[in-house]
Amino acid sequence: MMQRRALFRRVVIAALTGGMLVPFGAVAATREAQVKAAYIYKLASFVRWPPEAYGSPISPTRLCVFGRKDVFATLGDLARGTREGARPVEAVSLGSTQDNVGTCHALFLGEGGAVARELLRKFNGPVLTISDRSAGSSGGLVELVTRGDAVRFVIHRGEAERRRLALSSKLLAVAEAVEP
Amino acid sequence: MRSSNCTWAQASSLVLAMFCALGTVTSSAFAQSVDDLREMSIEDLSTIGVTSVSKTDEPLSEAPAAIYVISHEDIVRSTAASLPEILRLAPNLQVYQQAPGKWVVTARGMNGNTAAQSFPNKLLVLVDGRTVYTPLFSGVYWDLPDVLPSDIDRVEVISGPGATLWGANAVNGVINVITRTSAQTLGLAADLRSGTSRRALGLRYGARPSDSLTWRAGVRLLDEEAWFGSASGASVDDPYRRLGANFRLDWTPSSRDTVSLAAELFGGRLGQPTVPAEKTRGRSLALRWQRTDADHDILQVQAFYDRIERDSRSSGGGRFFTDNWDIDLQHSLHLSARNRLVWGGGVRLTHYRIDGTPNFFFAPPGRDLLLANGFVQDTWSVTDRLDLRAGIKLEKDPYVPASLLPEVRVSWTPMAGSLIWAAVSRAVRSPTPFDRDVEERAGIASLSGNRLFRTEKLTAYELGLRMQPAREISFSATGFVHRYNDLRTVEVVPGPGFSLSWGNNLKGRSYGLDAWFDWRVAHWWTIGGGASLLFSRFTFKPGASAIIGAAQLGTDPKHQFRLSSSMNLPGGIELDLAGRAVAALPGTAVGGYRELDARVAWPMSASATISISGTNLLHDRHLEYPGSDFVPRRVLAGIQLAL
Repeated sequence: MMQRRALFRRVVIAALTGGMLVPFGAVAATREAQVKAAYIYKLASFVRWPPEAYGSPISPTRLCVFGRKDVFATLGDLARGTREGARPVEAVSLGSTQDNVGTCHALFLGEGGAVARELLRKFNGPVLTISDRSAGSSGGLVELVTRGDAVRFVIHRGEAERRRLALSSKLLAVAEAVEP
Repeated sequence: MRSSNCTWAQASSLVLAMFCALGTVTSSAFAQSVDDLREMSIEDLSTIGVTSVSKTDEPLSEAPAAIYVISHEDIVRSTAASLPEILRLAPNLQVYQQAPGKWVVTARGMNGNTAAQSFPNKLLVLVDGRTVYTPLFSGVYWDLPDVLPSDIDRVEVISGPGATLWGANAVNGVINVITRTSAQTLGLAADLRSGTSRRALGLRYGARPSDSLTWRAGVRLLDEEAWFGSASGASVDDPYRRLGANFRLDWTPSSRDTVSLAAELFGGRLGQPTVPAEKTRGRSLALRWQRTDADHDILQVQAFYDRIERDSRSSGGGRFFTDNWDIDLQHSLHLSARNRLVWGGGVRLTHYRIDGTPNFFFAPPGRDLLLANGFVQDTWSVTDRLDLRAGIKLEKDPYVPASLLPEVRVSWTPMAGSLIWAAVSRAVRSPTPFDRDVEERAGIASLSGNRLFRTEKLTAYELGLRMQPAREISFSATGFVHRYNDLRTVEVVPGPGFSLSWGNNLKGRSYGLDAWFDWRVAHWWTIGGGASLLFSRFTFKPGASAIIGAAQLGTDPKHQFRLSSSMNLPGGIELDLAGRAVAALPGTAVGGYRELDARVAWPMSASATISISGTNLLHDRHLEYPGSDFVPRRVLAGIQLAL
């Protein structure tokens, strides 16, 4: 609880200096991107992949981001130096479906459309797919949803079974909704 | 570690830039942001505020001002098919529909008086940083600006002045429409809505030719047939149509730079009772470049050109065009760990020509108006809980000597989740050609612009509270006192017949409250609501002719309430309801009314959603503004496709 209070205070304080408006529109990324990157990073820690998802005991866990360079940038910072046991965690940016980036363990679809759907088809195996409803992507095992100011997530359990991923019960407990 | 505080932000919005830039807080709060993020629990993540959908930072809406953010989700789930309808979603605006395509929008009152030739003129309205109010009279032709609703990232609505940063005309409020970048709108999308007498059709395609380049192009048609039945009972013929094409390109030449280019072309017509419609045309081109350096100092340069034309010669009226050229620069930088400075300036040249009629013309018929400004603002974090912000803008408006627009804002966080702020600020509405050069004739009566017309002035005192007592509930309330001086009046002047001119002879005070809340009752159900209360008293200065009374400024409802419900039902069905209650406009034929808008949407597949939306469902028709048409009930069926 203390941690949350402290966090909240920081956020509110940040808000104070958050700045009066200025007469220009927004162009690119910020805390929204950060939070989403952190979600990708955290969600992966609640998932167990089947052994065949990895080439070797020390091969990395690859967290792939499609369509959001800003999210990727933060995820890269988060992943840097991180290890899950012997496995390093890597952030990978997918530019298009033509990218030959090897296996993704997690795939964040930062935008919807045909390319995203093609990626979902391409990474059909044990991949933690994360779609972002606010960006128009859908069909992920985890769906990020925006509620008021906050980002929450919904889990599609059938999709996890289909992809042979084991989800921690804690993750299910924290989800806004667990759908079949 | 200070340097890491905004890396994640990669701030390219200036707003955000300022968030990164202004805040010591930024330093103290997010100094180890990556480490913080890494250590946060997944529950923590869900408590962090981010503006819905957008890439923008929530702190914006937590800035010490009465800011309401209409999110992308709010917009696409609402019944709104056009920009003024979207503005109805903001509890701190008053929105009146007069006829198809004709709207009056105000914040904190002063809704004008058609009979006194007083048109609402105290809002600054921007679409992606480009002003869309017309410099001829400082008001907005609401039939002209249009954006496909699903292309809008959010609309920031500030009630109260924002002149120090935003500049003249940000007197009673600022509306900032921010569209999504083309990277957020890839693929083919269609939004088709139609009913028996109204159509709103939009088509958009976006593509990413390379990793650093995205673009989109769209076409849009708004079409609404006449409503029939005016306040006077007469049949009217006033359809509205607007056909537009738009293009946007976003380019990231390096990790530090973003460039965006936006262009629009449109034409339309706005019906007028019993006579041929007025033709409208317009075009715009806007270019913006932003650089974020290693210290997260941000430099932004924006230039735009736009033109609007209105032509009512076919009905015996006149025509005019305005050309605006504008360039602005803004730079935000660290002065110290606890001080952030934003400075900037801009120049706008407006070239216009008005071909009037013998009964309504401008002398001279055209001018070049030059507007220039420079501003500086510093935010000082006195302690971790207390912030002090002071800014000043020097603005040279056409016709008048330079105005000085200062502002002081203080904000305090007594405890987690709450924010108390106070502000004193000054804003002006500067003279326009309509104030200075207009000539109207009606029989023996005449109205002439006043060459000595001065700026209308406002000093505003605001006190606000924002709270989030629980994760599911947030609440904001702002009390205000506005003291106005030198407001425009109609004066009798010596001359032949009955000669009138403008004066600056009203002063007075308005006070009131803007409040709203948001409550997430369950994960599938959110309700929201708002209230705006307004009380005004204006008095004439000695020597005023006071012929029309203070009602020439407008007759505003004393209160307005809004309540909305947003449900996600089984099967992916969305049910959204929005009710509003608006008090009577005193002394006019417009009584108080309650109305309800509703929308049901059903996702047929991943790429197609069908919807039915109804506006003003409770009555066959109701009146919202003096002398205007009755607003009818409308039902539209829609389909949204995303391929």
